[in-house]
Amino acid sequence: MSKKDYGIWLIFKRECARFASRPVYLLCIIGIPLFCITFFSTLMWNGVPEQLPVGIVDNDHSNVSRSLIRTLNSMNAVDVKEVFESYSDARESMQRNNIYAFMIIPEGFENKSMSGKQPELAIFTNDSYFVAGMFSYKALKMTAALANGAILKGVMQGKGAYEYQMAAKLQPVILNANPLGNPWVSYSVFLNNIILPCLLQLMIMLMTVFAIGSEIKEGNSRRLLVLSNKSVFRLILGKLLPQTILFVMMGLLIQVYLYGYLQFPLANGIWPMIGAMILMVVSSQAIGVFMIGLLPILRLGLSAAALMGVIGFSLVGFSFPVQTMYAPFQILANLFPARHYFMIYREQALNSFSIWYSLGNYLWMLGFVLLPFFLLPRLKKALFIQHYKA
Amino acid sequence: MNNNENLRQTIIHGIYDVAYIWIEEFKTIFKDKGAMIFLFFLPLGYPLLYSLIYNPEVPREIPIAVIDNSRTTLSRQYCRMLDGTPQVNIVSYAANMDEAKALQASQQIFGIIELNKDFEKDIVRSKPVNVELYCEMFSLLYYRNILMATTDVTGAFNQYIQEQGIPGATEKQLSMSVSPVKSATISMFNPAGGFATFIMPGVLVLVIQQSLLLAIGLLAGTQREKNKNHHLIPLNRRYLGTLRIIFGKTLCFFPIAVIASFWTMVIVPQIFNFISLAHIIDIAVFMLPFILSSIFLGMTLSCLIRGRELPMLFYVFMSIPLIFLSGISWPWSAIPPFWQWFANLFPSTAAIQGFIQLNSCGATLEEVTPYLTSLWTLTFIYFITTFIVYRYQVKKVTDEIDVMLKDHHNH
Repeated sequence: MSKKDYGIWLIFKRECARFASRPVYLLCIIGIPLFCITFFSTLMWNGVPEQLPVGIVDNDHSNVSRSLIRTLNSMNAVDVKEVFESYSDARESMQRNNIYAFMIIPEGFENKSMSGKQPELAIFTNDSYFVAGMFSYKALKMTAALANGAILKGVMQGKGAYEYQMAAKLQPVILNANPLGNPWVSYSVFLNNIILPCLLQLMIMLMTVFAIGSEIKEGNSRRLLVLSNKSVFRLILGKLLPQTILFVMMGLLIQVYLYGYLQFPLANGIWPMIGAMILMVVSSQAIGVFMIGLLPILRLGLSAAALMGVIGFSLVGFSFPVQTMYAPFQILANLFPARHYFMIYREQALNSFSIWYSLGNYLWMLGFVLLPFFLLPRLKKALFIQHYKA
Repeated sequence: MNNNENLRQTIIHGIYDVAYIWIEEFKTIFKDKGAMIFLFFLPLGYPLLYSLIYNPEVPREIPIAVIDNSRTTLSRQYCRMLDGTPQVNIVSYAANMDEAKALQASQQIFGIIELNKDFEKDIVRSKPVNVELYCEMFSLLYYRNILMATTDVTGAFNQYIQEQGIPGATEKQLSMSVSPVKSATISMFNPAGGFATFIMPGVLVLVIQQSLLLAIGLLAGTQREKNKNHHLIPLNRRYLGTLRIIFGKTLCFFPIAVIASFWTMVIVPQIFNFISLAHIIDIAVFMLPFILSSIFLGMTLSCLIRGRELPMLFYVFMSIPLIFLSGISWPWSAIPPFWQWFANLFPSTAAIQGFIQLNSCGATLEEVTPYLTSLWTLTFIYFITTFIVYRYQVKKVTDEIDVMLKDHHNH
């Protein structure tokens, strides 16, 4: 190790000592990600919601309507909370947020269905709640289809059709859905795979800005420049390396937990994802350095990192696809390392595409690492002057 | 008489002191860029930004590919029907799975439909035939819309086949024999199933709470750094009444939060045509305890979390768990009891649910009583905790003044 490089080591050691003396560092680098891993995985442990409260308005009070209620209740997805007397009772219950959906069985349902008068089952869902609305709709719709099938079967049997004929008559074409990489349509698989990396990205940007910005604020940065032999590059390297190590460890912990313990799908093995995680950590740090270089005042730099990090959750496009957003947002989305991590996850974990398809995303993240170099002179000036004003 | 006089004096002094603190706090806010960002830019800018991001509401014409191994009149008709839906758009007829996969890998398509080579033959000879749908799962919204389109089309196609199979029947007879029971779905409170309609109420409410927590925390940090010995309260006689400080500060944040709420809950929904069924008075009644409890929670936390920049490190990430804890996405009824309990510690939980019921579902104030009650309970609890922590701060400063006076006398 040359004498020049020794500075990196000194700053590295000093940074580790800071971690030990200031709890905020470890709290944010280890504590918050641990909290979020625990939070998101226990929140939706079952993957799909079960026993969603729904209601039924039974205006028929017949054998058929009672059997319909039993069918609905036997479904794991929903729980018939109440049988209402009227539509307005059910609607009020929905407005009180007691049920997510209800079905109305019309008067004379049994008679009409047997005599070919085509009664109508009306399903009402509260789609202000996305997942609840979607899953309770599925259960109610299926109940209606089962009721239809049962009656139709009875009619056809009456006409003397054979069982094998009936299947094709009832449903000539059967749709077979294959959700690629998530056959259980688990919300937990869908969400945890990307929300945890997004969270890591936010914390990395914040902590990078915090680590460098607080040295300027506390007036230590000039001394650090002396330690690093006036090289801002070495200063940043020594300063951020401890964080890089810890954040990469947290990232890998997330992956071990998701792919090892929870056995989430991983089509092409762990290596493409480990590579993506390491690059995401380093490129998020690079963006953090860029921000504090641009706004070398701790609280402004932190505000920028906070505002950008939070927007990241939307622009990464897991909840609302980027391709559906307006064009400017589609471009902006590329500026988030987690967006490229997300695409690599899609290509390498959910699907088993060749690694060449992911190359562009790896390169994007490598590109971010170059970003701070443009601002190093400006950052050096700020580190030297130590001029701090809020 | 004397006692009465004293009480009156105290009250008048109290009001003067509250007014003094109120003005001082206002001055501090406007001098602090960080606080300005979180008190004004955040609640004014972010609702607009998020509304713009989610404004397209639903994905339309999602590109998919079809592998038609049958290439017959019926298979082509199935594809035509699929292409006609608003949700999907067939951009390619692939020769085989490899070709389709290549398109999928380069993000040109997000779903693949494969039709069996005996598609028509099986239908004609009354044998059930499978249609395979391979769907991308990185986006639930894509999955939901592609599945909806293919399910609807398959249903309609089946009905068409069934009707063909009964010669000489009238239309009514046909549909009867195919479906003796009809079903209709009414999607309430979000007819288009739009994403903005669903997520924005949550964002609009949460942004108010987060802006208050961040700004109050930041300002407390600034005051600590400015004041002697890093106390939260300045060594100033007028700051030595716990209630006066709490009222003075609350009076300062409250009007700002009211303006911000008016913007996010009344103006922004109007700009973007979000469903807003509630009367403005009802919204105001509902928001009152929400704003108060958020302010008191912020003041309590500002005494516990020291250091000027720490609020940004601790509060910002919490926005994400808090959105999920409101039950807006993952249903409240499926949230484990421990997390429900944890969620109820934050005003945003009851406020988001109540606001959705009130404004999106058209509930009356009476119907959201449980949420109002829990918001007032939180207001009360956090007022008490604020009182306790500020009392302690005041005591610290008073003790210090006593020591200083003693020193002064000794000299």
